[in-house]
Order: sequence, then C-alpha cells, then structure tokens
Amino acid sequence: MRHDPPRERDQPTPVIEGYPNTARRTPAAKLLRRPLPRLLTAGAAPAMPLASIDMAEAVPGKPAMGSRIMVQLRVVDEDGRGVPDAVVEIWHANAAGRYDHPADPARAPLDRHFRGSARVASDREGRLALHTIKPGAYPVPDSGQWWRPAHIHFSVLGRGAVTRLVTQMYFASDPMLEWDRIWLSVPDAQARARMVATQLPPHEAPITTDIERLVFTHTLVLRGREETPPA
Amino acid sequence: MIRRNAPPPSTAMQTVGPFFPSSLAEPALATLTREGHAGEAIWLTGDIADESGPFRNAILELSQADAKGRVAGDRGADKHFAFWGRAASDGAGQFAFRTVLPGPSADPAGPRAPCFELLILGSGIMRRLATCFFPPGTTQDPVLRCVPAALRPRLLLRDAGKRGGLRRLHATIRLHGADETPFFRD
Repeated sequence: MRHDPPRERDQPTPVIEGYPNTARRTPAAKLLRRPLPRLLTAGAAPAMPLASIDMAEAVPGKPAMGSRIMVQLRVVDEDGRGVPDAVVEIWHANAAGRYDHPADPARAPLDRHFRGSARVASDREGRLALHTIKPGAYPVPDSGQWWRPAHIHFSVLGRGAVTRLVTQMYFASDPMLEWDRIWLSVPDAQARARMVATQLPPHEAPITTDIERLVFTHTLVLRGREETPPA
Repeated sequence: MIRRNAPPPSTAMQTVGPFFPSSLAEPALATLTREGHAGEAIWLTGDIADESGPFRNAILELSQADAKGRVAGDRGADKHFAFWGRAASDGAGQFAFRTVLPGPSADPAGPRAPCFELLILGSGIMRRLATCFFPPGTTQDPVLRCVPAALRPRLLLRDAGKRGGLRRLHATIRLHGADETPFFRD
C-alpha cells in the first residue's frame, strides 16, 4: 500500500475562528516528518463488536421522530477500490438536533426511540447501508450565533491505522452549509462537495427499499492505494 | 501520470466534535490483553491537557506491537492480543489502557524500539494528531531520531509505580503551549 499525504487544500484548516477549542488544541509547533511505521500501515481493521441496527427504531415497533432515511455508503481507497471489512462508526443528533450525550446542553428534547450511534462493517465491495433518521440542525454551545447544519459523523477504520478517517456527511441544498465554519474550513470547493450526500429521486430508489425512507448515496475515500505498476 | 476518471482523493477530515458517544468508546476497547497473551501486562496511563487545562472526552487510539515485537497481521502475531485500543479521557484528562510492554519490532525505517503509537481525536481537533511514546530510557529509534533532541524527553513515558500489581507507565500529553508534545505528520 502507498499512503501519500493528502493535498492541503482538501483538508480543513486546523484553527477555525469562532471555534476556540481549535486554537487551544492545535499544536503551535510544525508537525514533524517521520517515516510511516509498519505499526500504522499493517493489519486489518481492529476486531470490534458490531451490530447492524436501525437507528430510527431503537425500540422495535416504535419509530423515532423525524424523516426516515437510508444512506447507501461505499468505502473505497484512493484507487476507487472498495474496502472490505472496514469498521464504520456512526453517530448523530436526533431530529430535534439533540445528542444522546451528557455533555449536550441543548434544550431540544431527547427521543428514546432514536439510537444515537452504531458500528457496522462494510461488505466485500466496501458497501453498507445505514438506516436512521435525518438529524436536526443545532446551535453550537457558547458560540454566539453559529449553528451546525444537519450532519452525520463517520469514523472509519480500514486496513492499517493510517487509513483512519473521521469525517462528517452533510445534506444537499442546505442553506446552512454556507454558514458552517466546520464545513467551510476545507478550502477546496470540490472537497467540500464530496462531503455532501447525493439524494436519489424516490422513483429511482432501489426496489428492495422500504418505501418509507428517503435514500441517499455517499462515498468515503480512505487514504492509501495499492501499488499499481506504471502502464 | 494522467489517469482518466481518476478517483477522488481521500475524504476531508472533520472533528469528532464534543459528543463522541461513550457507546463507541466502551471500556472493553481499552483492554488490549486477552486471556493467555504473551509478555508482561502493564497499564499505559496518561493525562491530556490543552492550553486551558485538562481535556475531557479526548479519544485516544493506541497501536502497538505485541510482546514479541510482531505487528498486527504478521505471521505468528499473538492471537491473544488486540494490537489496537481506544480510551476516552475523563474530566481530569486521565486515560488508561491495559496492554503489554511491546517488544522491539522490525521496520523498513530501521529496528524500532518498543513504542506506543497514539492517535488523538476530540472536539476542536480538525485533523487527528499523531504521536508516539517510548518506555523510559529509550534512545535508539528511527522515529525518535526525527525529533529534536531537546524535545525527545517529552515522548518518554514515566515510571509511575504499580497499579493493581502491574507496572504503570505514564504519558503526559500537552496539545498546545510551551511544554507541547511533539506530533508527527502521518
């Protein structure tokens, strides 16, 4: 596997104005260069407890509030090859914009029928389907007047720790994207656009799909590519 | 090399935010040892702080070799060892892994000293931070040699006595400021 460093303009600027934790937690010194150790490039994704669940129905038969959605995810490497057996962790706010987390100070209500997190593995082609509800936007605590647009958090572990990806997925045609300091922290417009899911027209959704779900597709690209001999 | 329909580069990183759920940092992930593992079990503990004090709910991910210096996926790698773990810091910025003292390992960059690779995620960390800690007294390691000599002591673990009968090694992690921990590009 080759692991080229990502292009600067495709990655967020580490310090974001109006987000004080970014300044407190970003090292002042330049990051040091080192050879990438085998410890970080070898081995399959760690074995972790997995559960294929419907986040929109934490209690069977009791649907959570909100628009039911399915996200058809594909995890690929930088050659576009599907990454099998990647561990994908998902967490997001409920439809009212509240996290099921003790640190969330929002006044928006909790929804006990919504399951706020999941951990699943990709199949042999790097695919997996996520069943949940569309999260709500929420005001960032102690930030003045900054709201986060609706987003889903993804944490992905592929082959070797260096492929580790932590990102967020956003929804198309959301005016709040243009006001979000975190989404805007990625300088390259195409790289930002690649964090936005594609919605399928309902009449083009896969026939096997539960019709009571809006369907989105999204691709997560992990670092690394197979060594391909020059053509 | 120009390729037609070149696939897109890796997806942009984003912060985990302040609400990384405890259900994804379950205590079992902080235990890398399984019944029957080889080598000496130890506690790898640490405290993490930012410019304003202890960092609560930092997510620390550990990658290391097994007691014989084998890396995950190597032939003969210890089946009773996890090679990877995750811990979240508490309100005092403290975290702990139950693991083994790794052996020295072979690496294309040169023989590696026993070492603990750490990846740090958390609210305000837009790009994961990577660093590496070494047992007290380590001097020879190709990664440690990339660090200016004056800063190397910051990557050495401190002997912190025993905990529950096991040797305890402690990492001090400072994300920003005068006593900042050295971090690496990865």
